[in-house]
Parts: sequence; C-alpha cells; structure tokens
Amino acid sequence: MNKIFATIALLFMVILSQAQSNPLLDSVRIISKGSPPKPIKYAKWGLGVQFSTNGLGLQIARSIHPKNKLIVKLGGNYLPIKVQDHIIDFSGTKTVSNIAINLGAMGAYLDWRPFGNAFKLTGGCAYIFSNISGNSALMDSIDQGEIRLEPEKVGVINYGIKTRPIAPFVAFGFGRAIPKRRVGFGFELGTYYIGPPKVSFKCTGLLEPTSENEALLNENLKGYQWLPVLNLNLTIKLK
Amino acid sequence: MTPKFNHYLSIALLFFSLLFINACKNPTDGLIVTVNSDLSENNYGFIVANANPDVEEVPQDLNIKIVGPDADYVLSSDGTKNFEATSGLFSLILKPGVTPSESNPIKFTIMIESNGFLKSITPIEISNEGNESFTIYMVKASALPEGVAMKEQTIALPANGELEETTVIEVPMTNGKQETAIIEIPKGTKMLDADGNVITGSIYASVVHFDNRSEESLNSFPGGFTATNLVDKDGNAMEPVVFETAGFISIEMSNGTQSVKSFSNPIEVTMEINDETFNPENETNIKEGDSIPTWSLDTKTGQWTMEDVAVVVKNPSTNKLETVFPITHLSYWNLGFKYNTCPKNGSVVTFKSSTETEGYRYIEVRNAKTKAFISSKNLNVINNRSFQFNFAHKRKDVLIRVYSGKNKKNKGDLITESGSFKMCGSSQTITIPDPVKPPTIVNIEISGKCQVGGRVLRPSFFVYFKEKGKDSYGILGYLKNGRLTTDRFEIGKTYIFATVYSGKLYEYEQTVQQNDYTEVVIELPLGTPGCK
Repeated sequence: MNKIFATIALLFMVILSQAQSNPLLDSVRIISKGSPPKPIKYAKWGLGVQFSTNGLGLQIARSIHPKNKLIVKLGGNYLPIKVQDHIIDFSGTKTVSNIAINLGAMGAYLDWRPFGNAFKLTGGCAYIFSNISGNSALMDSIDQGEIRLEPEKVGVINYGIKTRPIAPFVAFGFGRAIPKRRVGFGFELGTYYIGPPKVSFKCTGLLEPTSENEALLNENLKGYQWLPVLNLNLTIKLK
Repeated sequence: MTPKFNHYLSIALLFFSLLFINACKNPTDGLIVTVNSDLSENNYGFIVANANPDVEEVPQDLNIKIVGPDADYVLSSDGTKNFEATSGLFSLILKPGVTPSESNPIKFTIMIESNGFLKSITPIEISNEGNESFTIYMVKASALPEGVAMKEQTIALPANGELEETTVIEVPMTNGKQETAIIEIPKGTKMLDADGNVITGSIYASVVHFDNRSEESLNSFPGGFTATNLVDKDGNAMEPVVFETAGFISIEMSNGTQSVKSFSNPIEVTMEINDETFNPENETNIKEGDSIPTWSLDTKTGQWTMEDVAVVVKNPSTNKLETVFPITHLSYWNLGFKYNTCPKNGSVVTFKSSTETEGYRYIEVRNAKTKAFISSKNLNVINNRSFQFNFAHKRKDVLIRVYSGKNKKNKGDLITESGSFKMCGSSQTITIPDPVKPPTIVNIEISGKCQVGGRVLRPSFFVYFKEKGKDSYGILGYLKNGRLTTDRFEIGKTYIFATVYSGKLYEYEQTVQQNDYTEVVIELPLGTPGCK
C-alpha cells in the first residue's frame, strides 16, 4: 500500500515538473514592452511556515546571492503524535498498543536556483528529532487451567526506532524561500540520509525470548536509510 | 530549464525512487514470537516407584488427590486440578504468586491409590522457593519389599454384625522380617463403616506389617518420618516431630462395598519390637518397661494422631520385646518415639563441585552412630547448591552419603560421605570429588513450534530419563524455558527421555552422540496450551 502511494506521489511529481515549462510559473523576470527592463529589487530575508511530512515548522531565509540564486535557510519542524490504546486483532488475539511518534528536524540548508526560476535544488544538514517508541501488550488476560495470566505476566513488547542524529539532506522543489511578492508558496521533495535505523526491541515476561528478534529487525530495516520528506512552504518576504 | 531537461530529470528521479522503495524489506519479515512457559517458580517433579526395588512394575492408573490446608495452591503442571500420572511420573506447581517461606510454609498431602498397591499418603511441606523432586514409594501387596509382610484373612459376620468368635490375624515373619504383628478382634465386636453403619457379610481383612530394620520398609513409611500435621488424642495441634519408629502396620477391612472404619469395641494389636530400636528419650536401646507412643494416620487428611502410650513388655514365651495396645479404628498405625524438631534452624548442607552442571544424585541420610538409614532423596548437587533440613531431629547426629546413581534402585557408586553433624543449627559442606573420567556435559535446547501462527514455545517441565532397556526413570532435571545442561549422559548410549503433561506421557529416544543439542525443534500439535 505504501509503495503504491509512493509511486502515485512520484508520478504526480513528474507530471508537475513537466508543467514547469509553463511561462506563468517561470516568472522570474518581468517583461515590459517598449521600455528597458526595470532592475529587480531582491529582498534579502524571508520567513516561512512549513507543513511537512516531518512536522510543522518555521524557517528563516537569507539570500547570499544578488539575484537570490543562493539562499541560506535555518529552520526546524516538529510534530509529536501519540497513539493511545490502539487495539489490533492478531488472528483473534487482541493487543493494545501505545505509540509515541516524534517527527522533526532542525537544520541549515542551502537553496540553489540554477536556472533562476522557481526550480531549486536544496542541500543541507539537520539534527533529526524523528523517532518512534511504543509498547504493546495483550489486551486481555489468558487462562491456562486455573492460572490466570495477566497481560503483564505474558509480557510487554517495548520497541523503538532511532536514527543517527545528524543527517544530510537533499531535495528539489519549486518556489522561493524569499518570495518575489509579499507571500509565496512552494514545495520541496527530498530526503534525509539517516543511515540504518537503530531498532530497540525488548520484551518482558513470558515473551522475553522474543527480544532475540532485535538483530533481525535491525537487519530488516537496514535498507531504510533514507527519510523522504515532502515540505509545503508558505513564505513571506521580509525586506 | 528546458522541457527536455525536466523530462529526463523527472524520469530519473522516478526510476531512482522506485528502486529505493523496492530495495527495502518488510520490517517484520522472519519475526518469530517466542514464548517462555515457566508459569511458576515452584515446580515439583514426582516419581512414584515400587517400594520393592527388585520389582520393575511401576504403579499404574494412579488416583491422585491433593488435600490439606494449602491444597488450593497446588496445581498440575498444566495449570489444572487434574492430577494425572503416567508410568509413575507427574509434576506439580504452586500457583504463580504463591511464595513459600519458613514463616509461611505451604502444606499439602498427596494421596495416591493404585490397584494392588497400599494407599500412599505423603505430606509435603515446602518452606523455600525453587524446584524440587520427590520419590514416593508404593507397596504392592503381591510383591512386598524386604522387611514387610502381609496377612490376608476372611472374616464372616452374621446378619446382626456381631463377630461370633474371637478372630486372630497374625502377620508372619517372612520376607526378612524378624518380628510379628497380631490383631485380635474379640467375640461380639461389630464392625462399622465411616457413617457408623454395622457391616455384615464376608469381610476381607488385610494387615501389612513393616519392620524398622529394612531400608525398603522404612522407605514405605507413609509420608516419611517427619510429621508436621499432628494432634494429640484430644485434637490439640502438636509441634512437628520426627518419628523413630519401632514398626508400623496398615490394616484394611472391607466387605467389597463397605470399608470398615471403626469397631464397637477396641481391638487389640500386639507388635513385637526390634530390641535394637533406639529410644531417644533415654538415649539407649529400647528395653522392658519403656513407654512408646502409638499413632494413627488419617488417610483422608494425612494427619497423625497420638492415640496413647504403650508399655514395652517382654513376652516370656517368645523372649521378645513387644507392646500390646488397643485400637478403635483402622488406618496406618505407628509405634514410634518422637523427636522434637528444629523448625527454623535446620542444618544447611552445601555442595561444592568443580562442575556447574545440574546433576541430580541419590542421597542418603544416615544415623552417624549406627549408620542406620533415615531417609533418601534425589538432590541437585550442582556447585554451591544448598539445602536445609526442615523439622529435623533436634539432637540427632547424621551423615550424608552421595551416590553417583539416580535412584535407590540404581544407586551407582558411593561418591562421597560427609562427616558427622547435627541436624539442627550447623552447616556442612560436602565436596563432590571430580570423577576419574571427566563427565560429558551435554547442552539441550528445545523449542516447540506451533503448527499454526508460527509461534515458538520454550517448554518448561521436569525431564525424566533412563538408559534404554535397562532401568527405571530417574530425574534428569528441570527443563527451564527449553534449556537444560546435564552431565548424566555417556556419549554413544541410547536414552529414553520422558515428561508427563496433562496426564500424557511423552517419550523420546535419543542416542547421545554430541555435546550440544541446541537446535532441537519439535512440532507442537494444534491445541497445545500456549499455541492457542
């Protein structure tokens, strides 16, 4: 399901990128017939609000190029998600889970608009906040003969996924961090290189030997070294 | 940016992304849920053996009942109250959360009946946490062990139930037994059942007399010589004691439908006494004029009652010591001195060994002075393992013999013998010497794979073993969460392993050819607890 969704999203991106040849979007220059081009005054500072798959955030941008082809950004985003008492039925065995998902990163980035239009390539480095931790246990007790095994006795599965803290970031996108008008809009599709995630998987009670799967889970997740991010940015020109 | 460039860039990104997505595995691929099964910290393995070591026949079709004040805490190893045994093997657990201690011991009595065997009553008192093994010896009427003899007799009771002639039942001096026991039922006596109904018809009487000379006979003493559940004749609870028996008898009478429980008048028991019986009250051998208590055992509760005190006399016609005492009801009757015990500070015995491997050995406790047998047990003699005497004789000096074998029938060689020590208030270290030939340490790791769901169980149960075609089962050890290490095997020999779960015997034959059996996976059938 995730793969299908990702594929559709990428196809959408391809279609969108094809649309960038539309001169309406390619509006870096203002053409004025019959008079010499008026010099454009580029703002130096911009502020942005970010709606990201990695959380909600803010960014501040500073141009370091006379035509704003290079822009340095400092920003961060964060979104804590808590899933409480989530019940999953495994072939008739109900489990209850509590999961805390923290999304976020804080970093410094450089936007490069190689063609001077809205297309940009972004690189940077960030401190990653994203991690997942949770626990799952049986919802109900189990009766074995006259012994009632409470969920705690059966055991709790405690798990967590962490990434390396510092991660490089690359992206491409459209839209300016320092908009040409008062307000701008843009998006970035990119990825952090987070390296192999580190999984902790500790089980208690009778499930304790299931902890031996920790190495297997780390192996299985070894391929998940990239954290894809879609950022939608609402930007404001400051001056 | 040209359209062509955008086109190529997009295709490249899409291709790269698809490759990236498909390169990742499902995170839960191969994940196996593995479940331990040690439900209780207190597991007890039992072997019900024939008291006669020369007879292979093991008591079968056991009717097991658990009674006593803490019987509610005792479960079969499958967590149920269905106490079933096969091939004389069964195991019990204490309910999870129940913690026996010296201040709060767990007391229960195991009653076992099996066709052709005398009823067995075994009081158990647990005052420490952990796993233990017990051997219960049952006496087969048709194959009595040394020092035990039986007399069967039919008694006719008329319609009014009054015995027409005085009846004498004399247990002969056979089977190595050197003393007799005589039951005399006076004329006019009525026999009554448990509800007080007069019994009539043809009564089958069975009297079994046990001497105090033979180890097999002493091993058959119901519940062992330490008695913690006992009252005086007025019903007042007594402090725990250790019996020094001068002999005991079991009397059973029945007309086939009703069992005799009591009599309208007391009947008389005459028991001859071994003149080497030790009298702990004057610390000499028993003699004429000594007094010796008489005790009866309630076979429904395992409670001993001190009924009376009999005086030792010398029979001029036999020139033997004997006592004559009246009894009013049928049960086990013990003629026994009592030692006061030390309930709290029994001596602690610690084993020292160069191996760290679980190893159950046959152990005997003997009187240090006379070397007379007191009790036997299978104990784990792994390095630094300790055990404490519970309710031990306050003044008795004992020694311990450790044998290489696994049970009384297969004692093996004497490995070591401790020095003399008091059973109360001392500590004793017994060093297990290294065997001449270093033992083979075998590691066993067993997993049970559920047929559905892919779940894996790590079983926990007592494992019994015997060499193929040779002997009876002994305790190998407690397989805890699928793991057990033992030094009981010889490479190249074939063994039968067994365990009993829910009354079903599981046997497994294996020729031991390696030191590690760490990948043994057994398929567990649908419905196995833990697979559901």
